[in-house]
Amino acid sequence: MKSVSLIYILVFILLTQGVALGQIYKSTEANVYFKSDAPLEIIEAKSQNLQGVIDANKRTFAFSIPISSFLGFNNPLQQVHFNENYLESDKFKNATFTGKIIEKIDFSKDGKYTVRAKGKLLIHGVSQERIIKSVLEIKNGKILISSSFTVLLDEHKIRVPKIVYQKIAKEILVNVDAVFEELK
Amino acid sequence: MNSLYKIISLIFLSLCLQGQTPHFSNHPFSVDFKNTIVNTMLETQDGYIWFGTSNGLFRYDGLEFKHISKGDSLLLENITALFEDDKQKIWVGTKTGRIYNLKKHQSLRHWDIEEGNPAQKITGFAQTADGVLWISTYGEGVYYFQNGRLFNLDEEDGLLGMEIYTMIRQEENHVLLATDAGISDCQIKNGQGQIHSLSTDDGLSDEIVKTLLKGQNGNFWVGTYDEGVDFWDAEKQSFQRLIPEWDHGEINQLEVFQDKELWIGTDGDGLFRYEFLTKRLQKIDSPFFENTKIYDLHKDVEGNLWVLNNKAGICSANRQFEQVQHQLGNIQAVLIDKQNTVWLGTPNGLFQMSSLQNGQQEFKSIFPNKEINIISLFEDVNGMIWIGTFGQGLFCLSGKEHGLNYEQQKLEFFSKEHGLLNDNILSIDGSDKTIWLATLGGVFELDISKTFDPEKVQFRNYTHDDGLGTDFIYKTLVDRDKRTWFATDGKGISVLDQGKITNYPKANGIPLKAVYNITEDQQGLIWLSTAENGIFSFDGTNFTQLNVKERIRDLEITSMITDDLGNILIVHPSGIDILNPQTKHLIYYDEEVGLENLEAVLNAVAKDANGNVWIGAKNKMIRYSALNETLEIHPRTQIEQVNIVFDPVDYQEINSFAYKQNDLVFDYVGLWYSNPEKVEYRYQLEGYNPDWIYSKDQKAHYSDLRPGNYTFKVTSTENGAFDGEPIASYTFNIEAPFWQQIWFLILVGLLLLALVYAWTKWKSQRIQQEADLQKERVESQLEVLKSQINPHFLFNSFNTLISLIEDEPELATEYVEKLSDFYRSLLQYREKDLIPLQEELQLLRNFDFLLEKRFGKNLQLEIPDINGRVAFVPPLTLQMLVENAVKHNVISKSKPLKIKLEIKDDKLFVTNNLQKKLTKEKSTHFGLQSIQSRYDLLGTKDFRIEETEKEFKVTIPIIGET
Repeated sequence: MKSVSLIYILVFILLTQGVALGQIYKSTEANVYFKSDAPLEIIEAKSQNLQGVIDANKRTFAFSIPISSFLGFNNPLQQVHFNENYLESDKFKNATFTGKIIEKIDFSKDGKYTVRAKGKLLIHGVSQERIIKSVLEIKNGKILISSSFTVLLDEHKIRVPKIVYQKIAKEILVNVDAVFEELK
Repeated sequence: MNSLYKIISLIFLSLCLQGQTPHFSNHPFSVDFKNTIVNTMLETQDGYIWFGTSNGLFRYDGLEFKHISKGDSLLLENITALFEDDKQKIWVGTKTGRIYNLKKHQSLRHWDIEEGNPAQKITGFAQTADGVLWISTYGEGVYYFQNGRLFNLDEEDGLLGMEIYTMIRQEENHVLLATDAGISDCQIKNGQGQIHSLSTDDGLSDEIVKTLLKGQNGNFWVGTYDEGVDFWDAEKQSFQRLIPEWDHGEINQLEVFQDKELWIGTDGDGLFRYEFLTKRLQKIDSPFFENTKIYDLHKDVEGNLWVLNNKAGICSANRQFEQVQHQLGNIQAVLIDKQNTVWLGTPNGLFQMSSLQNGQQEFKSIFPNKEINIISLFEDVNGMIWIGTFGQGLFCLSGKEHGLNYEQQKLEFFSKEHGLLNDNILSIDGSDKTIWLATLGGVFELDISKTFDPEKVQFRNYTHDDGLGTDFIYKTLVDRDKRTWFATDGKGISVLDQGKITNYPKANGIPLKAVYNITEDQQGLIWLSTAENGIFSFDGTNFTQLNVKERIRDLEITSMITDDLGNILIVHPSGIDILNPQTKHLIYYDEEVGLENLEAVLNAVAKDANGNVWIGAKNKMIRYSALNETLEIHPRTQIEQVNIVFDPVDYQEINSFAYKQNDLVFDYVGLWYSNPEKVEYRYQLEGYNPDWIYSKDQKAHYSDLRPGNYTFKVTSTENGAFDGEPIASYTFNIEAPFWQQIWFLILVGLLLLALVYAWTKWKSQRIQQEADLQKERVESQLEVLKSQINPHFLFNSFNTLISLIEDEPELATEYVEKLSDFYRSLLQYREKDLIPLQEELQLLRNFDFLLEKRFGKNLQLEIPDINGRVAFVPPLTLQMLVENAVKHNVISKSKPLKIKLEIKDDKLFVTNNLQKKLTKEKSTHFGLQSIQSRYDLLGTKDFRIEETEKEFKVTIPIIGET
């Protein structure tokens, strides 16, 4: 499975950035949901294939999700359009977000933290620097992450044909919920 | 009547809410650069404003953008940072990390250094007092350039982050860097970077610091990502959060004005202003800034605020003027009471304007539903508000001073029954004891020193009968010396001082006529504005006039007021002149700051407790705040470029030109960003123009300048008054052509001298030659004479004669004749250079006759016949040769001497057989030498003497016809 090998690539990326002192967290469960709220047609889909790692010591992270793993469109045609016309998922297979958590939080302490993750968001082959707010809940060694942010189609050069322009909002709302456990 | 007003008055009614903003204007790029994003700006010491954009670097003079080129082509890179160093070199940083330099009058040059340029966006430059140049990047930390080498400070050196949003210079060689994890404070000590961190642990509200603004004494402001603005108090060494509930997102830029207000540029929510004193945060209502990202904020030397954003591009506003829109129509009277509430008198009643916490202004109606035409307002020493109307008498609002709310306040009405005989109250002023009313029926005085009882109020009237010039009084003013001044309609001003009225109908002989307004300046001078003759100042003795000639914009003056800095605001319907009473310098403001169609009313200006002046206009209130900072009041004039025969020349280096480089074009500019359209110029080329030339152009052209010294001077003004404006000048000379230059003249002189010298030399040689010839001739004559009178010759001749006398007396007679002929010839020819050969031969024949008688057949002399040939010889040449032959040779019967003369071509040969005497005749060798040198002097060289054993031959050239 491609997504499994990807996680090791991500871990490798993080490891090579310096000597990790343990404390690598890996995603075990994830739900990604997006919604385009246009006047004529609502497009929404879900995926559970988000892979992610967090280095708690260095507060660095890497997430990746295969575009083609999004399911649950309103109709099959929408899914085809999404993959072929807009996101071109055969060319730009994954969406990724890598970077660093700005707030210095203590991963060993249970609690709920609001953090900002600053990094490069790569969608449709176009990378944008973003600061994304997330709520991080640490509980019994697990990290629960929930985040909600918007993606501007323009910023990622996702071109929408004029005819369907009204169908798709220029802004797409993305919700992410994921559970991370320490990698041992 | 009185009770009627009581019933209907004092109803509170909120009308409208309006934000108060400066008047922003937009500076659009040309169509070619319509979509240009303007990232950053720089104001350089020479006064120019520069913009770093997505399409390169532009210089702006207020009217035009000049695209700066790099070499021969335009630089179209995305410029993200601009800086001017201590040597006036401009540093330019791009989004891709490239760095360029720009020196004055040159084009951009890539900063080519050994270490290479950064690869990430340049976010800032700074230079610390130690000369170190700092370069901050977004991704590579900070670089510093010291002693010609570039060094880097990164996270490993202790930097809080590699992505630096902003860098500012701090005291004592420090720079502060805004990062994602706080502020890094860096300095270089002993060649080592020292970094100190300020983060949330130190009380910073947010980890992410986006911008920094330098304050005074080591203080600074911090613009954060989420938490608004923090203030670092250097004394307390701690951060203070400035705005408790900030929900306008990321802050990109900060700028401070006069330590009174902080301007805040956000990343998507437009522009805000925060007042330190009132803690008010106001969103700037302007279509230019709504929902925009502010890229840069800048305060220029004239006091303008510049705003760069992603939608409107470049905007600027004069920070001295702000305005609030309203719908109250004309404002006829403005009063600011001790509580700093603004009262507005209109044709439709009285209103209050008060500032809300969000910076907006609230307008409340005090006299609703009643048309009361209010034209004057005054607050007395007790806090009561006096309200003067046009034709509707006088009102007094009391109770406010006791802190009573509107329901409890009382409105009193005064009219004829109180002695107020005229109900047109044009102006009200007062002292701690008295209130003065200017009306169309003279002046009314009211004593307010006793307890105020509306029932017992009685006004005292002063009219023409009491000594006033006229009963129509426009304005009254109580000055600091408690004198009361009155502006009259037609009779100048009057003053009431200690019960005595003095009228001043004329100023310096000029009739003042109608005076509309009076104000007192900080020096105690009284200033008055007239209907026809402009403005006068009066020191109690002398009047000084300011008229259109003194650059008062026009004579229509509605009101005047003195601001907190001592300047006098002269309000015209078309704008405001700000007059410095000492220097008489004027600055004009009009539509560019939002001033237009100001109503011609007398009482619509007032000053608040903070020193701001409020001016009522139609449907808006204008606030003027005199900025206490030192601001430029003159356009900054400079010579931009000098073109010699259409080529730019480095005029700062070169100031001497050849005679042919006599076509000069001067480009100059007067930078006045507050109102660039108003800038006018005058220039003069000293040495060419006898007077100043006035122009709106930024160019002066001179052609065919004669050699000489010149100074080009230019000055600019924004108000038509050139005197006292700084002058930019350029002195140069045009050299004379080489033929007019001293070295050439000297050379020619020397040459001439040399020629004269050579000629005289040659001439003197000729003279010498002549003299020599003369001398030779004389000498030869002398020799000949000597030889002829030498005793031998005479003795021999006489001997011969004696024998002849005896033997042949007839021949003796002939002999004597020949001898005397011979001597005569000698005397005759001695003066001449040349004689005909014929004559010489004749002389020789005479000589031969004499010799023949002496030597008989022993001497044989052959003389040829020349047959009329014209030829010349020096005189006595042949005679001398023959005599020489006779002198040196044996002549006897056995050895006859044969002397033969032959002529061949142009030569004459004298030959004799050689039979030298044994005893040598004493000889001076003069004869031959003399002939030789005479021929030399005649320029004929062919004189030759040949001597063999048997023969002696002399060759003489015959000189042909001359």
